[in-house]
Amino acid sequence: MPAPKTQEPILSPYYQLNGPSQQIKVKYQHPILPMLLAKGKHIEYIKSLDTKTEDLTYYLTEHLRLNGTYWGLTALCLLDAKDTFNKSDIVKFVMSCHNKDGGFGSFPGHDSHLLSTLSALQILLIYDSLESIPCVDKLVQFIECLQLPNGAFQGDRFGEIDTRFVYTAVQSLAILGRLSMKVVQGAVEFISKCKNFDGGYGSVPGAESHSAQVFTCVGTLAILNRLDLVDSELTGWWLSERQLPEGGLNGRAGKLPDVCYSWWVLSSLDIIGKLKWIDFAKLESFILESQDLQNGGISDRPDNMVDVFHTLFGIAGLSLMGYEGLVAVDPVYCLPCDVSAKIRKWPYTE
Amino acid sequence: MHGIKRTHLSEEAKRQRREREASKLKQYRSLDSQLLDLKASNQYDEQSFKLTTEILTLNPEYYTMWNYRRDIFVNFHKVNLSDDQYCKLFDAELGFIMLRLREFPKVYWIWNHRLWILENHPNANWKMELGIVNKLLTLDSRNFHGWQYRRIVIAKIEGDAVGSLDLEEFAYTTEMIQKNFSNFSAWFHRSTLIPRLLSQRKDDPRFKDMFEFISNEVMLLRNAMYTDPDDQSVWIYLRWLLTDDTFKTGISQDQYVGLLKDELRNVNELNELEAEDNGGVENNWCLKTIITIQTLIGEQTGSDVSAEVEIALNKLIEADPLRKNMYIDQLKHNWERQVVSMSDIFRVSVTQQFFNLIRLTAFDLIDLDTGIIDSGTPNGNQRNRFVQFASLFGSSTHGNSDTFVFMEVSSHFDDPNW
Repeated sequence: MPAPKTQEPILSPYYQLNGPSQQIKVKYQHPILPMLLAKGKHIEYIKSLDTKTEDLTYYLTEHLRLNGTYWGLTALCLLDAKDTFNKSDIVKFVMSCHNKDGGFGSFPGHDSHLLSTLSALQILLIYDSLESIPCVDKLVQFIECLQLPNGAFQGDRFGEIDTRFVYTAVQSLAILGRLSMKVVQGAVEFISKCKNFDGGYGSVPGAESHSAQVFTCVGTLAILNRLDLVDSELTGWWLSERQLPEGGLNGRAGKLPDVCYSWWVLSSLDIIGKLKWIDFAKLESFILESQDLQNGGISDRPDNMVDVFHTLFGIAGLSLMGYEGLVAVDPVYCLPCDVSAKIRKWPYTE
Repeated sequence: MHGIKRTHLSEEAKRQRREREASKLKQYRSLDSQLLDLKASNQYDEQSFKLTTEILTLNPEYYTMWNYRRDIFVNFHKVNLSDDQYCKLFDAELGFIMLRLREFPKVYWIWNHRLWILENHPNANWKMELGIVNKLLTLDSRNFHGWQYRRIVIAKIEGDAVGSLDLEEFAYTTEMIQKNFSNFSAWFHRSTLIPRLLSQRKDDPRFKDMFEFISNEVMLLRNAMYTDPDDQSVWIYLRWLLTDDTFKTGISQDQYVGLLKDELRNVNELNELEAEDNGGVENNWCLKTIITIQTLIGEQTGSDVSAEVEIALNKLIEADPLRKNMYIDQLKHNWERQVVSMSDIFRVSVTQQFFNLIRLTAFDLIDLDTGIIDSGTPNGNQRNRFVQFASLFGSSTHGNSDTFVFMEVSSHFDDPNW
C-alpha cells in the first residue's frame, strides 16, 4: 500500500491538471468530483466563430459583430489566450466600423451606437491601440451629445433611453479619460432615480428591477466613485435572492436562471462587497454544466445552444469566483484587471 | 441565444443545411449590400423603403435598417405625401411592426421603432395602443419591454389631458394579480401607483383611509402567501408595504406597530403550518419576513429584538444555505448591535448566544465546510476575543461542534504566522 502523500487536499482536480499554485486556498468541497472548465474547447470555439462564413447566421448577426468581437476577445483574455486573435486584424476591423460622426457602428457601414462604441473602445484598450482613433474630440462629442437634460443617455439619435446607455457612455468616456463634471452629475442624478424599493435598479425611473440594469447602475456609480449612493445591504439581498436551487441566477423574481446573470449579478455583488452572498459551488456547477463539451462554448442553460455572449459571461462569472487558472476580471468594467488598471480613475486630480 | 435546445449536427447535416440556406444567404447578402450602398448615397425613395421592409422581415434586429427606414419616412414620405396619406402609411407601419413583435417580442429595436412611429405619427392613437399592449401582455405577462412600453403609453394618454389613469392602472394590476399572483411585474407596477392614489384620490373610498387601505392590501397578500408560501413576488411586495415611508409615516405609530404585530402573528402561524406539513422544516420566506418585521418593531418600540432576529438567522443558515454567508454577515451585524462592549458579553449566561459569538468570530477565519484555516491573519480584536473565550470556556464544552471549531482555531495561537 503506498504511503499517504502530504497533507495537500485532494479535492482539487485543477491542482492535478495545473500543478501547485502559489497559495492553496480551498473554498468549498464538492460531494463528487466537479466538472472542469474546458478551456481548450472554448478557445477553439471562439476562434471558429469567424470561419462560419457559409452560415446564414454569420450574416444575420453582423449588427452584433463588434460586440461579439469584444465578448470573444475578453473571454480569450480571461482564458489567458489573448494571442488567439490577430491583433492587427482586429484593430483594423474595429477601425473599419468607425463612422464620420465620431462613433462606432457594429459593422462597416452600420450606424454608430453607444453599445458598439463601447465595444470598440474596450477592444482598443485591450490592444493598447486607442491612438488609432483619428479624432478623439469628435468621439467625445458624439457621446456627450447623446446625454439628455435629465442626465440620461440615449443610445443613438433616435431616442431610446435606458440605464444601459448611461453605463456605456460613462465607461467609454472613462476609457478615453474624458469624463467631465457635467456628464458625471447628470449620470449620477439619473441613475439615482432608477433605484427601486427592493434594492434593485430599472432601465428608467419607475421600471421594475432587473439584474442587468443593476449592473449598469452600480457599475456606473462605481466608475464615478459614488458607491455611497447604493444601499448595499438591500441591493445585496435582492441580488442574492436571484440564485435558484439549481444554482443558476435569474434576472428578476420568478424567472428562469441564465448563465449571463452569473455576470450581471455576481459583478454587482462584488462591486458592493457582497460577493459571497450566493453559493459559489452551486453557481459554478450550473455554469460548467452549461458548457458544450463537444464543440466548446457556453449556453444560457444546460443543453441549450451556445453563443459567445454566454461564453464570456460564464467564464467571467467563474473568474469572479476565483476559479483556478483564469485571469482576474474587473467587476466594474468587464475587462481583465490589468487592462482596466490602465483607465484613469474619476475624480481626476489635476 | 436564449432557450434554444443544443443540437450537434453531423458534417453531412451541416452540409445539407448550408445547401438549403445557400440561396437565402445569397439573397440576403445581395439585399444587404444593395441597401448599404443606397443608404451611403442618402437615397430616400419608394424602392429603398421596400428593400428595408424586405431585410427587416428577414432580420428584425438590424438596427441600422430601422434607422434608415425612419430617415426615409422623414426625408421622403413626409415631404411627398399628403397628411392623410402619411397617416395611412404610419398606420400600415404599425401593422408591419406588430407582425415583427409577435414573432420577436424581446427585440429592443422593434419596440423602439414602434415608439418612434407613434411619437412621430401625425395622429397617434395612444388609447388604441393601450389595447395592443394589453394583448401583448396577455401573451407574456412578464414581458419587461411590454411593461415599460405600457408605462410610456399611459403617460402619453395622461398627457393628452385625460388626467391621471392611476385608478384604471390599479384595477389592471388587480386583474393581473388575480390571474397570477406570481406576477411580480404587476405587483411592482401597483407599488408605483399606490402612493399617488393615497394622496390624490381620497374621493375614492378605497384610498380615503390609509390604514384601511394597507389592512386590505395585507389581507390580499395573505391569500396569496397561504396558496404558495415559496413565491417571492408576494413577500417582496409585503416587504414594500411594511417598510415604505408612505405607510410608516402616513398612519399613527400605534396603528403601524399594531399592523406589524398582527402580521408577525400571521407569518408565525403560517410558518408553523408549513413546518407541520414539511416534517418540521420551517419556511424560508416566513423566517426572512419575521426578521424584517421584528427589526421594524424594534425600531418603533425601542425594544430589544436581537434575540428573536438571531434565532431566525440561525435557522436560515440551515434552511436557506444558498445565502448562508449573507445570514452570517447579518448575524455578525446583529451581534455588533447587541453587544455594545465586552463587559456585556460576560453578563450573559453560557447559552446559544455564546456559541454564536464563537461561531461568528471563527467565521471570519475559517471555512466551516472544510474546516480549513484561511490564510488571512486575524486582527488584534479577533485574537483578543479568542483569548477571552479560551479562558472562559476551558474544557467544559467538549464534544460540541462549536467547541470543535473553536479548538481548531485556538490551536493555531502558537503559530508564528499568526
